[in-house]
Amino acid sequence: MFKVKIHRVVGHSMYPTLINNDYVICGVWPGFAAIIGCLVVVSHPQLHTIVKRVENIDCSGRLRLSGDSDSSISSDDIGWVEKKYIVGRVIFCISA
Amino acid sequence: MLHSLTTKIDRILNFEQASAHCDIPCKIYDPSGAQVAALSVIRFIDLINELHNKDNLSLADHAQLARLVREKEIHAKKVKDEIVVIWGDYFKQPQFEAFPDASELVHNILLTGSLCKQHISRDKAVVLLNLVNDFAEMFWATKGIDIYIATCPYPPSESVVYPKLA
Repeated sequence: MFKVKIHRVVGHSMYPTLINNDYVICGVWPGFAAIIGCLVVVSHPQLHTIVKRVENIDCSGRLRLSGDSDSSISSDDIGWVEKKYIVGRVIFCISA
Repeated sequence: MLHSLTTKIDRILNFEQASAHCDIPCKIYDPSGAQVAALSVIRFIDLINELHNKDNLSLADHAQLARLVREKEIHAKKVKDEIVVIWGDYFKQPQFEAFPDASELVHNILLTGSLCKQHISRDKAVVLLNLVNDFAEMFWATKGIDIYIATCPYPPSESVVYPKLA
């Protein structure tokens, strides 16, 4: 089943792709898989709901995430994110 | 237009936030804020005791006392907040391995900070400063930076741990 969700972006770590108060529409669908380079919203166990870019994917489907801005929290600090925490892939941005 | 429409819908439906927080501000850690706040607690207690030594308190003195007590508590709370942020955000496994007593020290600071809110004991405030100095020494050690101890060049003229940066 195709599911979509809208999130309001808070912060500047995804600059210049996203800025504070942008909206992102993210979705999951049958056969959904994150791909390297796409934006995803994940429900991180420690960092809560975050929007980041997929930097790498390991063989078990875990994601390595990073921000577009140099000021973003590092991939190391985010850690590998299990597939089950993916809220959805960003399919549309509404710019502020 | 699309954004303003979405914002209006957001006000009704309250969309969940997706954080894109930056890390740069969070990497600026320095215990000096806690040290200055601890010194301030001592200073406010000294000023409270100066009022205590007066034979009669005027209305202005009462107002001053209220202000001093309020500021003492604000700064004791600030000590706790500053330390908790460094301990919670900066300290990670390598720092805890190097300083296994870090959490106990932080806990002592928090307890002593609360005592300084509750009381007007100068001794307790000095203990708070000493604990914060211990924390500062540990913090700079995690960064491989030597420290020196000097008397702060302003009241309450107490010993403070400073980093040797040059």
